[in-house]
Amino acid sequence: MGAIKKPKDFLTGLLFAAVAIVVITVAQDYKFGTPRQMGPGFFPIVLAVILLAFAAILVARSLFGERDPLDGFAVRPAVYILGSGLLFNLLLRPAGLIVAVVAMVAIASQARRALNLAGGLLVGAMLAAGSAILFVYLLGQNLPLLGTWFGA
Amino acid sequence: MEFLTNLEIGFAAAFSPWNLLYCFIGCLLGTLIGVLPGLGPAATIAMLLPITYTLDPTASLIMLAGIYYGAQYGGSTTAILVNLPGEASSIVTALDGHELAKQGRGGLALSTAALGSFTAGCIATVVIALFAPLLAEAALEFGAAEYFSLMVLGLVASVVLARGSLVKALGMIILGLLIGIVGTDGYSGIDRFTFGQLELVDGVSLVAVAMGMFGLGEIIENLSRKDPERAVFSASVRNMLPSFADLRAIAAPVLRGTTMGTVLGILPGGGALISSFAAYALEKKLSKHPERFGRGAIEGVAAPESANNAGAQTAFIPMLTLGIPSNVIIALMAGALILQGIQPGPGIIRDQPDLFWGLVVSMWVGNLMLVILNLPLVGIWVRLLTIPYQFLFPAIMVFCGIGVYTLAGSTMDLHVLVLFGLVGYVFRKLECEPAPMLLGMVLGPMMEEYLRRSLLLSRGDLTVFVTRPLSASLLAIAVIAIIAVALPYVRRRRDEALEE
Repeated sequence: MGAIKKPKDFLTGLLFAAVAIVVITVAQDYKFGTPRQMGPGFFPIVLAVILLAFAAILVARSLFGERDPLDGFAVRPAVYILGSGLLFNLLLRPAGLIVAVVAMVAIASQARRALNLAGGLLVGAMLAAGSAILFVYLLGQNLPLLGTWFGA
Repeated sequence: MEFLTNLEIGFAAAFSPWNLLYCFIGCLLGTLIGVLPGLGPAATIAMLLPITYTLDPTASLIMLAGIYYGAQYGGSTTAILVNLPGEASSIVTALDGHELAKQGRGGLALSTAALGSFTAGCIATVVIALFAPLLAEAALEFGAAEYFSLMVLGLVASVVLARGSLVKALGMIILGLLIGIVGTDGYSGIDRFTFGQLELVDGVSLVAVAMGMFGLGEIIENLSRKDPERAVFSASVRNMLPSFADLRAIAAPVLRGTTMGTVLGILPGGGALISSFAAYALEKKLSKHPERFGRGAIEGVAAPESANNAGAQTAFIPMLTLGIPSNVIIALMAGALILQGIQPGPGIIRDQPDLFWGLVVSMWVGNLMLVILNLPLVGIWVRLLTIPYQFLFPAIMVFCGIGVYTLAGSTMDLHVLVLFGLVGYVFRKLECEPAPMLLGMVLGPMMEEYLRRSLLLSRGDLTVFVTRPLSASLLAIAVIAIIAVALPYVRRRRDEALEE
């Protein structure tokens, strides 16, 4: 990474380029058409080409100028928050709202070491009860309190 | 006379007991989330969208609007007393407001913010009432080319006035436009970029993306930092009443801030956030003693607080008259209307007069409620800040998850939420602003449609956008704005103004 002065510009450029290339590849299956009769592939491919140009500018720019380092990513909060979110998604239908909320909150609360697991479970139970009352009973939202695992 | 009849319709709608109640709920919720850092109006409105299904359209729009402008009031309280902007649009208020609080003049800062916001709210309401119907009438003459150029201008404006790198922001717009066109192409019937997922044929859920980027992404960012020191200056909240000399000192900044906010709010891509930054920069430039700014200049509170409130209100104009949402929050409200079967656009004022005029009048009523909610009750709001973040962020996650799921009952939307939580965090680290991407996502399908129609009518002639005078002038403004920002001198000045 010695030649790269601005890793933030460099990585953004790579990300943009990756998206543009995926779009152009996938859009090969869609008819491009002509300006007069734009096909479904016209707009996305034009956009992706523009995005590719921006990506090139960013990558080129990242090699010059003053150094502007990228701080490290906070891996622990990201893993706990996103992981517990994914768990909620997977549990919601089979296990139901109560279990999904308690599980998500208990795990997410460990992202910061301010609360132990018991505390996390307690906060989770309170939030589960609160959201069951608010969303299911008061607002009548169509949410399964207990999911298919419990025969609901 | 027509104006008076319209206001009568508005008063009748806004003062119906239910609508008053929803206006109050909206303002209360808005203040609440405005005070709490880490929970903004975008996430709140997204969470409440499923509930608005069950309300009548006027009531739901009145409530959602109350949340948006109410958050501007609440955000200033936290900014002044705790030096922690409750809302992004109160960042500049914290600079001088908190200094005033430290000097024991927090009460004055709070009442200035409230009075400024109230004045701005009243003026902006009148501007909407006078200006929106004219614009809606003009919009009926708009052709496809004008709409396309107007959207280009809106997207460019959202970039030019934002901070950070121009190229990154333009790239974020394109990214948003591309996300926006995922789903079935209405013209050819082909499913685009759905990767075989049936739940994506209706497109990527805007609510899920917005809550991922702003909700989850921000939680990760906040957790990766240490809890900021929160020194609450609630002792200085006595002496709320400004003296006559104070009133004279803030009158001009309030009016300038209101004007700035009103104008920038109308611009597509504008709204509360940009208005407050611009108003602060203007005050500092006009001041005879710019060195006082950052050390407790009352103008530094009066102008941006007036501007963000005015901007939050006039930001409704493009949506209600042209059908083009000017920012993500307004886009979510447009979504609420579409769920109710009402198409945002020039037809609203004509076909739904009680909705439009009721909303306008409710804004004025809401501003009055907010002054009452905020000044005497400030102690309660400050106490909210003692809720530790480890209790707050799990609650936000639960609301995000439930809010996204109940919107369409789709697990795919939940996965989109988590994915964009990651994307939001990564972009934050790379200093790419999420707002232009979301605006692009909203406008993507509309832009493609208008581009296609324009080119069909012109038989493939691309010059149609520059040979039609109105379209050409809109594009010219956009090009000038980009060139201006790209110039090194202007660029430096802009960065200075936005970073202060």
